[in-house]
Amino acid sequence: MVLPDDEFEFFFDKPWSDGLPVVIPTEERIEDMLTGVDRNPNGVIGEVPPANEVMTVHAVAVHAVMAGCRAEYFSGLVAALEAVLEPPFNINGIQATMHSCAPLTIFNGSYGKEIGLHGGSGCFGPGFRANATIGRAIRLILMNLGGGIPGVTSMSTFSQPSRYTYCIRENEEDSPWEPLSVTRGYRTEEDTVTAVACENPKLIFDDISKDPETLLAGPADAVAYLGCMNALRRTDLVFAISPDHAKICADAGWSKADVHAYLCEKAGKTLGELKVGGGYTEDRIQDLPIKVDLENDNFFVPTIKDQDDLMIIVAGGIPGPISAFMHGWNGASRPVTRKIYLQDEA
Amino acid sequence: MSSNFFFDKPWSDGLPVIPPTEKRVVRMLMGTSRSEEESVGAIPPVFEATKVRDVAVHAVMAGCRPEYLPVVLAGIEAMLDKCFGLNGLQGSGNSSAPLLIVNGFYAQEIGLHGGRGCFGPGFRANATIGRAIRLMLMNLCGGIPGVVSMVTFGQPSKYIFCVAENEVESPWEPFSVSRGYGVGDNVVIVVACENPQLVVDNYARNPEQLFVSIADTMSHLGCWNQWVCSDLVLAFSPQQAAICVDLIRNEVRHRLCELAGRRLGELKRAGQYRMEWMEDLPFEVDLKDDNFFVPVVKDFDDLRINVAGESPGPHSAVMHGWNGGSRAVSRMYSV
Repeated sequence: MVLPDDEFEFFFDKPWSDGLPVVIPTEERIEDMLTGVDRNPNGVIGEVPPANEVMTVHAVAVHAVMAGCRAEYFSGLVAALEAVLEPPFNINGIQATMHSCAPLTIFNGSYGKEIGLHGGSGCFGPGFRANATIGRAIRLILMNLGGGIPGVTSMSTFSQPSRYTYCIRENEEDSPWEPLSVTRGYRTEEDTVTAVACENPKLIFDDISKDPETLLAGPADAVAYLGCMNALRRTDLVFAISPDHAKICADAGWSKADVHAYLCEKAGKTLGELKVGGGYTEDRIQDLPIKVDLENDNFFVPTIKDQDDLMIIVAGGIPGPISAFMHGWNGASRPVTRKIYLQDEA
Repeated sequence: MSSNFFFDKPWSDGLPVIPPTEKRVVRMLMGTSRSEEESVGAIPPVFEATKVRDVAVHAVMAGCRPEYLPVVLAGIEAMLDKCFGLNGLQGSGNSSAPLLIVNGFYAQEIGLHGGRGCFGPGFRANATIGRAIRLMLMNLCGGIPGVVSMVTFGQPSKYIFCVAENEVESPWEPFSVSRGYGVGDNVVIVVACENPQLVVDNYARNPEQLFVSIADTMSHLGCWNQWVCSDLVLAFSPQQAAICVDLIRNEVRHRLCELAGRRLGELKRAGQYRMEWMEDLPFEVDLKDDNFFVPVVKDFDDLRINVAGESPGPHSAVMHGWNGGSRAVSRMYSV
């Protein structure tokens, strides 16, 4: 069916369209978006691989308008993009891989709360404009300035729904522990965004357990299955624990570090179990930062190869007897945290 | 009408919509021969009476082309089948979302994508059909987080979860044909499930090797399938399906049903273990024998295998089901 002229059709026809309607980026809307940050519109933030188009502040504003952002989201979006472009994050590789991972951005601090970024009930799903549109603006930029278009430079076999948008805030209000930003060396009053390349959230339901050891037995098992990259490689892992589950741990006197240590110790497979999975090769095991006795099939190989690879956040609403794991990519990307500079401090 | 008008609605998914002007709605309705006044059903939990016209309005907002409308209608009508349990799914604290898998000629004609990247962005038919369903579930049915949806996390596939099968690169008959439909019949299947979880395997050269990682991924202790009769969807990439080319689809299903599971003693370690659930299963479990093998797929019919993605790609994807309160529904639709 040939559609008559409709301003929205112009954008749908672009090869970098994510397939959803955009807000038409008129000059007026772009100007308004640029008021959200105290930076020169011509200032260069970086180049977006693999196409390496130059990303100026103005170019970010155009995509922010199209994604549906409000002007007050703009500082956070710019910081998130800066994190994604840091070399250790290796967005070049993520853009091209056959894997499905997407940059998850996690916000900490009062700024996220003020702009309505949601970390409570349903935070990984639809219904929250800040989450939906900041995440989407990142994706539109990766497609349009970076050329990360399926079948063109993106060779992802399946891709994944979180490549539409993947942006949350940590639920600091309902957390018994220090926020992720503090764990990563920032001060409580600092606003930060952390980017990490990972899979979709994988749920672990438990509405029975009353103590941390029983509660975490499920997650420790669920994280170790043979299909994930983490089974045979050193890579990132995000554990989103719901406030209810975090409370069970905290009430028993467990700190976030205790949960962290428990998962690092308990999650894993024996070498014999790894050997029968199709992805196994000896050199992959020899490359690990831990020494594995290749003759001993009972040798326990932890899923989390280095304790720095596990990131724990509190997310989701109350009630919520669920936690979630997000497995990492192939180890070629490392998480990056950036401070968000707001207008009054700039 | 400013775009903020729609953003400010409590049922907004948070993304821009196309304003559903009368002109656009009329054009959308050209996608179906059905009367705009015809009833589609009442959508739980709010049970708002829904007409073809309401579906068209949401299809416009989501960004659909008129030719997508028959698929949107078939999708929402399939979800209103009692077996699908939409009422429970809307209120659930779990994050399962209705996945649409579409087979048949029409899906190919309108560009519904089952190849490279089909679960992600870049394909208008997938993106907007999936989104139209979600907007209806939020707006006509009140499935709004914190209102009737008590979902803890939500999941990204609650925005959009709609794919075609890659029938061209599949070594097997289309998924719909395995369910008794004819070749080329236009069929939509809806199934409540979790996000796709990847199984990466670039070394397996025969099915038995390949099935080890898939079976292990299917049977971790965090999933609902461990405890109850529920659907489980498995997407094979064409490359992984080609490894199994000497097997028919049902042989693959049978073998994975045999391999995927846990010993009772392992299940007992998980916090979520309940003896009553074991007693409720459609087969007898010896509760005294910790070595008793409990398959993760409780009934052969629960395992649904389709082919998606594109070669090269050494991946499969596991999508676990919800708590057993929903069963997959398939439906043939006319164009």
